[in-house]
Amino acid sequence: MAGENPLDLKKFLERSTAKTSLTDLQSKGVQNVRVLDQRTLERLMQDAVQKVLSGRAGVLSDSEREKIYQESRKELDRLVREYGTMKKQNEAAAMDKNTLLTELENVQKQLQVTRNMYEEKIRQLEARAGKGGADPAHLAQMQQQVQALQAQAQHAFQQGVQSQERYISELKERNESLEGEIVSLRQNQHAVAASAATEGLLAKKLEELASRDDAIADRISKVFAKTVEGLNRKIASIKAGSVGSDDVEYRASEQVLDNLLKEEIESNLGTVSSQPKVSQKSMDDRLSKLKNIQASFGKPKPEGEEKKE
Amino acid sequence: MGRLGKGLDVGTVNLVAAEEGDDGQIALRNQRNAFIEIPVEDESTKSRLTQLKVPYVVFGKKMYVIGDTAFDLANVLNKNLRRPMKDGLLSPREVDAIPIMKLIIESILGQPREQGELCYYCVPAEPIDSELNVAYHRDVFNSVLVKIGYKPNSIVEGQALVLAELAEDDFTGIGISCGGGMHNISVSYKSLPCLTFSTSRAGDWVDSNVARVLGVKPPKAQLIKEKKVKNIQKPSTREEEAVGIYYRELIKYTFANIAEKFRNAENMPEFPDPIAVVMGGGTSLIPGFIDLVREEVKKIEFPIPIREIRHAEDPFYAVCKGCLMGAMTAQA
Repeated sequence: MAGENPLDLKKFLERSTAKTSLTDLQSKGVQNVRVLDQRTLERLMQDAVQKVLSGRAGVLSDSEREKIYQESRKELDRLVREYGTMKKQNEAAAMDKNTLLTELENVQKQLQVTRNMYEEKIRQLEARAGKGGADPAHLAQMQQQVQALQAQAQHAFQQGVQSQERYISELKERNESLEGEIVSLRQNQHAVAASAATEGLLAKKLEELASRDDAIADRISKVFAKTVEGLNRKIASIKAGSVGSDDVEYRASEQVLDNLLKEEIESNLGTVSSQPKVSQKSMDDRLSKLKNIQASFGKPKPEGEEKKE
Repeated sequence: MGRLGKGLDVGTVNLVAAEEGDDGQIALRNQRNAFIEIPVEDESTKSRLTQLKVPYVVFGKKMYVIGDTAFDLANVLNKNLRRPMKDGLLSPREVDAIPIMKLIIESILGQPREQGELCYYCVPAEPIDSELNVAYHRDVFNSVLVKIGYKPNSIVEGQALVLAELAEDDFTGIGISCGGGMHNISVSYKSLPCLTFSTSRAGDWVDSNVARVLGVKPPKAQLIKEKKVKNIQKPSTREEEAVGIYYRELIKYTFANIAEKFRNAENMPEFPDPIAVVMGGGTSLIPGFIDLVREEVKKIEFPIPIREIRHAEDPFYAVCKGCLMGAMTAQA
């Protein structure tokens, strides 16, 4: 309820107890009551509650501890998964790089073969032209063919070069990307290692906290249970004295006792009693000492009546 | 005739009576405070029991064997004993047992030597760990003793032990009566009880725990405790070990409570010198008990210096002798 102090024990006690007059109690046959004042009750309960609250402060509850542990575990799992993915990507990238290098070598070989072929053709044509006897028209045609072949060879060479350049540029990009990934992976590896170490420390700390927390909680719980139990007993006793208790224990009345003790019982106790044990040591010294001490106090009788604390 | 006044130790397990005889010696009689029902048979059964010196009573339509024989029978027949008292006090559930107890008391105390002879009987101090009330217990025993012809007066059990055993210390020190149902503690200064209280863990607590761990009935556990333990400090069998463990716990519990009471009690006298602690009662009779107490007390921080812990000169009868001393001092 808003505005109401949840630890208002005074109010709680006022609400939970009943008042009764001494005359009422006397009329119910209650001659003596043990009195536990409200302030003491309040103090006992406040102490118990404060112990619980102060004991709980600074340590984690079960659910908080479990939450931290679960979150930490989740983060570690994520980092481990990420590391696995990165590792696979790294391996795939390394394979890509090798494939590209092989392809480049093939292209270069093809280019060389094509170039060699065109050069051979040109050489053959030039040789044929140089032998003479050829008609000029045919020679012109041959020269055109040689020029076309040279152009084709040049084109093929340029294409090869361009293709190589593309591969090289692509490889450079991939390499740069891979280097970035490797740096990132290394960083992640460090993070994972650091996280694992932190997780270990955290787990250890949590265990320590848990055991300390459990021990404190256990102690508090025992103290609290004992206090509450004592208070309940005392409140029950106060209630019983004021309004009467349901838990009435039967005790024989004076009249019943008198009748019971009058009964004649058949027994052989008188005839089978054994001889008494005899203590040789006289009590005289002790008795006179006791009498002297009691006389010094002005109390002749060691009544021994219970001295109430 | 010896000096007037009699003492009666009303214990959960034993009833003990003391009086001074003609020769100045102290006569002590005891009977186990227990009985067991047996089938009522013919007159010959009663004769046989009498010949065997087995005490019995016939009450209503039932026949009971009383005392030590009842204890032995319970063990032989593996039955539980009927005990009129529980936790040091008369059990309100055992109302029927009151006439039987009266008979037992009469048999050990005898008739008063003159009308209104004083009889001091012990009562437990207020327990600190239970809600039991001493008033009913005291009222019943007052009635019983009045019925027999005595003028009864109660004395706190722990203080009776102090009177019997601490004369050399000017009746200053701590008396601990280790009974079956309770441990009764009295802190005395020059015969005045400054602090008295009782705890409800005692011999019966040991018996019930030993019975539980060994899987036997409490009378059997009691028999083991009373007859089979050679040295409680050095157990050599499983049974001895079980008894030893619970005895150790019992001692710890009692002394921790005494220490706590000392710390919290108001108006406690300042003892100028270290004091003596004297222990008695049936539960203290087990061999090695006092050494075990000394060992355990060393482990706790006791709030006042203790000069010595010793066994009563006559541990079983000490409380009864204290009651007798009370009666004889008052009678004179």
